[in-house]
Amino acid sequence: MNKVLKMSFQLLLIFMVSTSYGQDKKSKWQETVIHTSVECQQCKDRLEGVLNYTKGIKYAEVNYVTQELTVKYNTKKISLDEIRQIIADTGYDADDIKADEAAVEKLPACCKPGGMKH
Amino acid sequence: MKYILNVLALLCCFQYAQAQVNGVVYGSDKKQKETVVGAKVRLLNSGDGAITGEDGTFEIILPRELPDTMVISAFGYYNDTVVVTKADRFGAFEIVLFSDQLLPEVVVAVKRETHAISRLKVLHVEQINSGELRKAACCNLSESFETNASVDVNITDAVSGAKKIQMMGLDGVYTQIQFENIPYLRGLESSFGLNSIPGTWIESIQITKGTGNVVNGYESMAGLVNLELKKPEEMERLYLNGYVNRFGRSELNFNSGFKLGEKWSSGWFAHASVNPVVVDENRDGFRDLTNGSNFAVFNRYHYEGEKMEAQLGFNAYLEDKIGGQVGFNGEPNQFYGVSTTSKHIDAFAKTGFFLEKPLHSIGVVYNVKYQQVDALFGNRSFTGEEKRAYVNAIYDGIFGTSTHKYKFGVSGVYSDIKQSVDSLNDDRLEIVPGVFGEYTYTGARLSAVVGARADYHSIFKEQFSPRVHLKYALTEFTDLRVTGGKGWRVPNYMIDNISLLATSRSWIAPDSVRPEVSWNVGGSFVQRFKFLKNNASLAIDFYHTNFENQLVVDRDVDPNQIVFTNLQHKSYSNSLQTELSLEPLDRFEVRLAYKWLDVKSEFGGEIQQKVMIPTHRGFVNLAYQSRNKRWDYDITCSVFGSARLPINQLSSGGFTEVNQSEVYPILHAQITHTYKVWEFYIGGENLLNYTQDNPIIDAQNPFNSTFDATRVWAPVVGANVYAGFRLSLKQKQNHE
Repeated sequence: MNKVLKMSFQLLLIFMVSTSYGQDKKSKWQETVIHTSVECQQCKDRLEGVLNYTKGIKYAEVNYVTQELTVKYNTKKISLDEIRQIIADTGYDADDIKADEAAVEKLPACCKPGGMKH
Repeated sequence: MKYILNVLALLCCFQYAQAQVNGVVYGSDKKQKETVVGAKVRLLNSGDGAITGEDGTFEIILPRELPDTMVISAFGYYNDTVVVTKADRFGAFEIVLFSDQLLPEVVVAVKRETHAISRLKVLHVEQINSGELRKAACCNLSESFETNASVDVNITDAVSGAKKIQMMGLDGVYTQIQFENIPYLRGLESSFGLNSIPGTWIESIQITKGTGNVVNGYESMAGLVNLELKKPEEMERLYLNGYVNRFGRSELNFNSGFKLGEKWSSGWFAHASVNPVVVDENRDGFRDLTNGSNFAVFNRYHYEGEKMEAQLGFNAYLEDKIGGQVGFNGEPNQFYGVSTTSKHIDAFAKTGFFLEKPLHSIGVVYNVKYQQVDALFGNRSFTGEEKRAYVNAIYDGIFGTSTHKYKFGVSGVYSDIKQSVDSLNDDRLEIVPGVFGEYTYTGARLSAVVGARADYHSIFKEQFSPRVHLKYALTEFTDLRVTGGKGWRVPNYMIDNISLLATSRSWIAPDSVRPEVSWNVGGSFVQRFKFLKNNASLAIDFYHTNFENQLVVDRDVDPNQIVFTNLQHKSYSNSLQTELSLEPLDRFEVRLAYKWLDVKSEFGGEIQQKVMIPTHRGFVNLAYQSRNKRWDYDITCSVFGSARLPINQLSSGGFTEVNQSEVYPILHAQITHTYKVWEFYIGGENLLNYTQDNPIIDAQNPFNSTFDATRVWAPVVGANVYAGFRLSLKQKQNHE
């Protein structure tokens, strides 16, 4: 039983270490909130799907009720303006940068401007 | 006990600065109602908002200043507004949004009659959704309950690979399993059926404790498990899953859903698995795992018309397994071998007609099935064949507003089942017509479901089953539920206990087979609270089941016999479960559960605990998701307490000395990595490598009178490591 307990503690330790791995070390990591024109769950999935697989971005979280995007990124690999541009290219406004019109056309209907209003 | 009461008292006295309400958002196009994912809920004055989750539910903080106006919006539906007052702090909202395809006048007319807001479910239902199912690399249905504390899955013997579920310490045959409200996995499928449904087909599972609704039949005695499989119109365009484990078991799953024109959609599901490698790690000369293969296909269609909706589908399954001594090759030879072949084909159809009056409809469900099971355990054999047909017609309606709902209908079962074990036969033709009615009241704090059904069994005559479910909102965070009712079933002592052929003990058949009747009463207490800013809940439930005429398997009369008797005396089960869910850090969830089981009956002439049922069981589940949603970690640890074991005679002439099982832990863990449309997972089962020493008694002499492979209470194989992938491509949505 003792061996069992020991082993379970080790496993728990591995689990905790692996989850906390990669926490902030230096200030090259920056967290910012960007205001976007997301409207619904589909927008959230779409935008998070693009940003979470962009090099230099650690995570991106969309809240479509407040229309805010929280993004954490590596300032040495990507700039805030570049992130805003990616958002605009995906079809959403990002702070002052307007969405790319061709991209807006490709959005699901509920993500188009006014898509949630009836 | 005192400690528990203190904690309870503490929780009840919790003072909250702000109140919080829960709700579910449904979308309706007049004909049907389904939950809406991603609907926005906003409070105009306070500015707070929420979004509905996967099952359409939301939670929102109510401000001090009430009333406030809540606006609910979702794509494809008209917005709705609800005035929220102080009275709404109790219970929860059920909001119905109406499709913007409907004319505004129609919506107004419908709303006037239905009163769109009502309270939530009366029955205590636990939901296992697709996110929970991903936590275990479910090969099939039996593994889907790994992260759930209410349902236990047990291996029944060391040679056949059969698995059975248990609820409240009662055998799985007392829990009604249904596939989208069609009674399923019953009769001949009670022992090997769990393997016939691949985990990748399942969308969600609902677990109801206690007797279920009367609408779905009379057989839910300890509980009801409903399986929702993936729906053709929503499932992946292409889904592929591959899995391989350390013991050489490999699996391939394929799903595909697509539209066939405007009104039809179709879904295809296929599954194949093989287990070719012979494993005998404990070197007792017996395979630790069965070898063999199984194949399953399922094809379903969905039709959605103006006035009617229909579904139909076909399912076929074939499983071939061999177990027993390593030298056994499937053909009878000098070795002790176990071989089972199980196959079935079935078809189902559902039709729903929407009547002129809103929220009035008629639904009819049809199901036909042919099933065959043949098994060989050494020199003992079982053959079984079942033909079954089922029809259930339900009328749904409301009295005035949806505060008062009712359902009534008729059902019919035709079952021709033939079973034989060695020279014993148990053949039965059953025809069971039935009628049922159910009334649902949904008030501000009190909700009630009262129902009854009457069935006429062609052999056992009439049976009447009343059932009552009540829910009362004590405070806005506290729900109290009470349930009571009757269930019954006709036992199939052969297939229900087929694993007990893996012993030399002789079977003593019951004088006659009679219906088993159970009365179940119980209740639950659910408290929601905030813990470190996140949602948390505590649930405590207790159920008592009392049997009349239970067909008891008595292994205590004689160490060389298994006696089946229709018990005239006491037989009951008490089960107490507490479950605490917390989210101490964002995206880090902790679930702790404890279960106490007191399952007693007359065995060997005295009232004692049923064998193989541990009195205590504990459970911890930890889950963490990284912020970018690319990594998921999951650990589940269960601890099983000591259980009473049957006394066996040994080849030396003496008897087993230790007749209590050991306390043992089981640890599962899994890591999943998502990359766009791909997911890769690696995990382990029984990672603490706990196995039972000598699971088979007298394994050296399997044809001896003392051989017994049914005294199994822990895993036979050690740690397992597996890896796999999933590829999922979505269907193009209508509104894209």
